[in-house]
Amino acid sequence: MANLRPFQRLQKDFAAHIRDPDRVAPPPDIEPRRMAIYARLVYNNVESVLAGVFAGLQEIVGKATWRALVRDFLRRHTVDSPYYSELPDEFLGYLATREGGPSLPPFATDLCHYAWVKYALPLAPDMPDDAFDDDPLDLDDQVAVSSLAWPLQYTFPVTDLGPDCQPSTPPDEATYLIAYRNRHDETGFMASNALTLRLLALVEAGSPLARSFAEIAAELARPVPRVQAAGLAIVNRLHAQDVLVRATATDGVAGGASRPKRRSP
Amino acid sequence: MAFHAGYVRPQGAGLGLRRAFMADFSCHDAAERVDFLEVAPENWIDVGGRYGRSFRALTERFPFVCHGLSLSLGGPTALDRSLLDAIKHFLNAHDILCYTEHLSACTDHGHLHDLMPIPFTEDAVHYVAERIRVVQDVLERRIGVENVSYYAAPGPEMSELDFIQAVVEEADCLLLLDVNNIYVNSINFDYDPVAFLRAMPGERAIYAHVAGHVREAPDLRIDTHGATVIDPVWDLLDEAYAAFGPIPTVLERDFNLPPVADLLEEVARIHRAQSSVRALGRGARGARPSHKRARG
Repeated sequence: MANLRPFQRLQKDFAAHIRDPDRVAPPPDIEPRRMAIYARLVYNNVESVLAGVFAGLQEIVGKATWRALVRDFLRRHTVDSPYYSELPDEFLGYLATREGGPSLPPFATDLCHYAWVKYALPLAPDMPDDAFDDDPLDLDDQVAVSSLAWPLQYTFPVTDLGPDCQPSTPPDEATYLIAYRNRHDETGFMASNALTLRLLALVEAGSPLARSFAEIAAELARPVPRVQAAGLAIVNRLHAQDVLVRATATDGVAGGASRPKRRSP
Repeated sequence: MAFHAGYVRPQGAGLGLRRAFMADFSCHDAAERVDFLEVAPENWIDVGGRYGRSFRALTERFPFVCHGLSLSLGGPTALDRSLLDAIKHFLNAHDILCYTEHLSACTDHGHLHDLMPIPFTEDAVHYVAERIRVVQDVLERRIGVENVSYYAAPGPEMSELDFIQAVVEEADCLLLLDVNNIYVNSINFDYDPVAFLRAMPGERAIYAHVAGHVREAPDLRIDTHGATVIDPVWDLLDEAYAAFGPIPTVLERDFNLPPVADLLEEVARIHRAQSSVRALGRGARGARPSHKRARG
């Protein structure tokens, strides 16, 4: 962007006003009424997708703060994604890194991420047709987390947040969830716990089941056979819910997904 | 230098497909009333789940054309090669007939997800034409570029018409002739839409657009795709057919969606306009894959 051509300088000034019409002057030779159309179109287009996905935040902070927040996003955030449908992803990125801007409740990031998962998971790229099966898993089986199962850990109780539940400090216990989309494209959240998410993290890191259970047994200072028995029961429950799949079945999943999905809170 | 055909011209009357009316659309006897559908690839790349499945069912039933949103042909950021690769994969995976984009910019340093004007200058002509050539090389097909609606013209050094003509000549690309945009711009910039239309490089037109718009002020129209097509735009479409033959034409409707039956009635009106110009003996002209230019 260093060596802009003269016509590109005109474009840059043009866009700078659209991003921030209250603070950046319009190009001098253009009727303000005409620039206002662009500023309005861009704002409305961005606001409409964000308002749809993050309606919960808008309800809590009110219209004025919401408008100031979208303005701040337009002013300061560089949207890298060419996909309009990923503006909510970009907004999460903005929330995570913003400095200044309208002040928000401490749970805003968690609330928005949880809302984003509800929006993004139904649209996420499919698993291969043969990824899911019903045969029980054993200790020797190679397993993987389905790309349509998202283990989630939140500081705030995201399922309870709303106008009547606005905690100023997080509870002692984190909230553990698994968002899933099964083979029938039914989506939902299941309540989970720290231990299950630890197991899923080990599986995602490529650790075989036997080694994962041994590691967890060591972390908990429990006998390995007991952890294995309990762990296999969990693994098979998650397999039946299409959260865990056979690793061989997920080979080549990456080929279907040409754009990455941000999904860590 | 590589010349690419690599596209197929659609036929007849088409409709811009939106997620919001997809389910209704599939219920109608649409197959007999719509010859082809248009989508923005950026709205469907990597979309899975129920929407993805419905989309695939439609691509197996209808011919599709793609109308891109985010390449920012006139923008200052480098061409997004990973987007281009994703588009290419999408075009091939769904057997898309042809691909078009806007003669505009949708980025400054980042995406603004709306269409901003390119200054009408000589330097901009060369810049945009070169980018179109790169896109055609990567996609291995000629693309069409749309004459966009605009509300302000920063630093013009030539006319809009000269700019469009120079770009498509230099890039040797096709034209997506947007009839509504000519009408909107003719009011916003006070020119004669018919004279402008007739001077457009219609022999390069791969297909045309019609759409509705809103009246912002007596001298300003906004291209919203949120209303029914008005009579002066239908008249201008007739002029386009008279000048260039019955160009395949897409009805665009993105907001304030009416019942699908209403959209299909507007599509039927496109068919009628095409039939009457055919009855007058105007053969189809405009862009066709040229065998002497096909890649060898």
